[in-house]
Amino acid sequence: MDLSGLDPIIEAIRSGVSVGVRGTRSRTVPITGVQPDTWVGAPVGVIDFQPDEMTVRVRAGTSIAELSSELGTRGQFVHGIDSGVGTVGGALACGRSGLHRLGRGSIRDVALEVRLIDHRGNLVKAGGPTVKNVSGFDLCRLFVGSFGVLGFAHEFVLRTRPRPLAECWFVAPVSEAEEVARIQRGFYRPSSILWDGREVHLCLTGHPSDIDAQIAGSRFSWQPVGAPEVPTDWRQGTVRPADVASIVEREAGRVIAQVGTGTIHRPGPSARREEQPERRGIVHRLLAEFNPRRLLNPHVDTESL
Amino acid sequence: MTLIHDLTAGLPAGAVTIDRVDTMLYAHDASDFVGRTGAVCFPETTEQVCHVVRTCAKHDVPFVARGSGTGLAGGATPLDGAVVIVLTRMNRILEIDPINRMAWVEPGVLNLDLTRGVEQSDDLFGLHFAPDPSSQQSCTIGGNVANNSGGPHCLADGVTSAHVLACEVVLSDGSIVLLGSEGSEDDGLDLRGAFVGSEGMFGIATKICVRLTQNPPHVRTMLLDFESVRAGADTVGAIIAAGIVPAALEMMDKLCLQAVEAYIHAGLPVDAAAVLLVEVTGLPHQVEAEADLIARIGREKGARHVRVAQDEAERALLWKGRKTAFGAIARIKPNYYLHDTVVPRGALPEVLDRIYEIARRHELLVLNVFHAGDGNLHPLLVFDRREPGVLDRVHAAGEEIVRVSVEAGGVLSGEHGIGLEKKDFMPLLFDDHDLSAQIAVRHAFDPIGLANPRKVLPSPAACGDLRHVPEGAWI
Ligand SMILES: Cc1cc2nc3c(=O)[nH]c(=O)nc-3n(C[C@H](O)[C@H](O)[C@H](O)COP(=O)(O)OP(=O)(O)OC[C@H]3O[C@@H](n4cnc5c(N)ncnc54)[C@H](O)[C@@H]3O)c2cc1C
Ligand SMILES: Cc1cc2nc3c(=O)[nH]c(=O)nc-3n(C[C@H](O)[C@H](O)[C@H](O)COP(=O)(O)OP(=O)(O)OC[C@H]3O[C@@H](n4cnc5c(N)ncnc54)[C@H](O)[C@@H]3O)c2cc1C
Repeated sequence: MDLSGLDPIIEAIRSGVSVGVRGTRSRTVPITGVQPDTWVGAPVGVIDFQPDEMTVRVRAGTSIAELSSELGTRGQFVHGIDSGVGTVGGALACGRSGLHRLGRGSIRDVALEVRLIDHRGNLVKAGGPTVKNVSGFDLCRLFVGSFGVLGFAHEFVLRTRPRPLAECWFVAPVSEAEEVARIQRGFYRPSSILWDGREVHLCLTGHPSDIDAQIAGSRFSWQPVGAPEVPTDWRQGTVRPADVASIVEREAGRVIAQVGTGTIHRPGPSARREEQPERRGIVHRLLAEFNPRRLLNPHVDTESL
Repeated sequence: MTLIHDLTAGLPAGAVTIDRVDTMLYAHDASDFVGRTGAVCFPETTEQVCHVVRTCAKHDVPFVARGSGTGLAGGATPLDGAVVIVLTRMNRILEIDPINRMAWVEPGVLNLDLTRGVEQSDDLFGLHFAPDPSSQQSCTIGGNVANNSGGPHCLADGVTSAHVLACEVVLSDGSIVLLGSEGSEDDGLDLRGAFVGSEGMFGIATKICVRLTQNPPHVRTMLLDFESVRAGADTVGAIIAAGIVPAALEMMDKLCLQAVEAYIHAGLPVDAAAVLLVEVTGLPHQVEAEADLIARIGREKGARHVRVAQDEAERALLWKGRKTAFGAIARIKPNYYLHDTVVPRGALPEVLDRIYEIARRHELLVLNVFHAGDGNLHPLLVFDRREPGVLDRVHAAGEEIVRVSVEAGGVLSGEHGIGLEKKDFMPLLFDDHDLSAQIAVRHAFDPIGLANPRKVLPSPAACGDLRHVPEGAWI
């Protein structure tokens, strides 16, 4: 393994000052206001793409664009890391699954192996390179969404998957929660259902004839549209999926809900979850083990983790 | 006050036993490891689980959560007189939300009972719980969560972790914590993700929120037979490379086929070196296109026949062959030892050759029936325990199989877990820094170390020196 690019990061960590790791800083992360003494970046490059294994070994600082174009040559992609600005390490550290969470599952499931530099400057490996693995505890899922406070990632093995034959977005006017539930029950494993209280955006993937047949069999007046976008300054929050209907009805036009998953996008900051002391206890002990002096990413507000 | 007295004080009558037959019964799971049981408790509520766990903390006695005891790695085997907490009386489906496709269940609900309980839900397609271990008639959801279990249909839909939204967990100090939430994307550390697969060492799951999956409206099940194992294995890689992720992609080798055919008479091609059982599911156009492409790839790679199940009865028969393999094997020899390594798909032919060679050298019979689609091998060494010295040969062969798999770029376990069985193999995959990180996570969840101790992580003395039987257990 080529570890040469890691020396500066290891040195920075071992020097005893506080260190931040950044990708392209495109991400809004919860901020404390404390700035690290030094910034480092992760090494770059796709190391090994194995289309018949559906895995790719990639360095953490690789841009999402570079990874996508490499995987695209064989019609594959990594869910949650397939478009937009930023780095692979940044995307995984933030752990957002994107608008296709309903059909494609969580970005937390894509990291098979994570290689980290810990707070002592030691190299730590979690997980393994195969698509299935229960050897030891699942530290990979703990890294995804950790905003880099448990260690700095330098390399990943990620699960890839084939692109669907077709991916089509449709829109229909829908203002009643009952109707949304009908859509949820009546379509086969849609990739995404977005609702703002006025219209539903629906994404279907697979064979074009199957998509046509599903749309033709639906009693809603679906129109094909381009992929919708959530305004970049909106913030994401999570609610009980069963509460989505009442929230959207109340806030129609000022909210976009990912129906079935409970993810809600709003213009302002979302309410913090109610925190239980027992959960905080575990988080604090994890931080005490993995970041005891808070020298790794001190700018990240760990109270929201 | 004695431990038993304190335990009894907070549980219904008859929910604690130290009877000799019971303690022996609960001294092991489905593996060969036998431990020593301090007491067996059968709580019916989360509060009662808390009581047992708090009592264990008070007496500084370890506890072991147990579902149905079908685990194959010794995970539920109690060591050092641990209290076994049997969760099978907590077996209610609490709440089903068919629209958002989720359900809250108690940990003792059996895997197949969950699917039976939700399949009539109000959804155009019907619903099920996707992870389908071969033991699904008897294993519990709590056990599935603790072992992050898989099954034939996890190739496309993912293993247990992808189907668990939240867990209510009793920690080793008796406190209750909710990990994860019904909304699938909380910001913050994924403590739920870390808990799944923690083999009972982070705490006890007392309520689980699972994701439900729509049943596929259209299914094609096909059997492809080959003159060489290599041709079958090559076909697996070619199917994946063609952009198809079948719902299931299983392989059986010749000896296994012969055993199964003698058992169920399904007209299986017993002269083939290997067969692939492939299932594609979904909407009709996609399924038919994929089935055609798989048949074409198979023939290009040397399949002699492609048998496509013509109706539900034939499909059930083909699956029966796969699912009864374990029963069929009992007709060859009374005992078997099942391994569970994973290798990259591309390494399947070489590793299978090595496995045959290892078995031959140790004068053992080996049958292979496994999840080929994700490279998850299940070599079954069959033997008769009464034969002098045979267990030593079985263990020596097993150790070589594990080493060969790791050398080929693989891992120790795909779905059965590490438990007692493979904990001293962990240094083959992980160095001291890697293992320290795992110890640190366990410590964060269980600082007092009473939840199922001495599993998964290697015994300090055993690094590099691979022993199979931990102190306090016997085979
Ligand atoms: C306004 C805006 C909104 C966006 N919204 C979404 C969205 O909703 N969903 C989505 O999928 N994408 C979104 N993106 C794309 C997002 O930028 C990417 O996910 C990107 O990968 C983030 O990477 P980055 O390199 O810019 O990370 P940065 O912003 O540089 O870093 C983000 C966090 O990750 C940590 N980090 C970075 N690298 C590492 C590493 N190697 N090891 C450990 N920690 C590390 C950082 O310390 C920081 O805490 C959005 C982008 C923008 C500009
Ligand atoms: C014939 C046969 C076929 C099998 N096929 C498969 C297969 O296809 N795929 C597969 O993955 N496995 C398979 N297994 C293994 C086994 O069935 C699974 O590991 C199963 O999930 C164990 O469930 P259980 O209820 O029997 O758990 P147990 O064996 O009782 O316990 C397993 C582990 O989980 C812990 N545990 C149990 N309940 C809880 C809880 N509520 N909270 C915390 N920890 C808990 C225990 O401490 C132990 O470490 C098979 C086993 C047999 C005997």
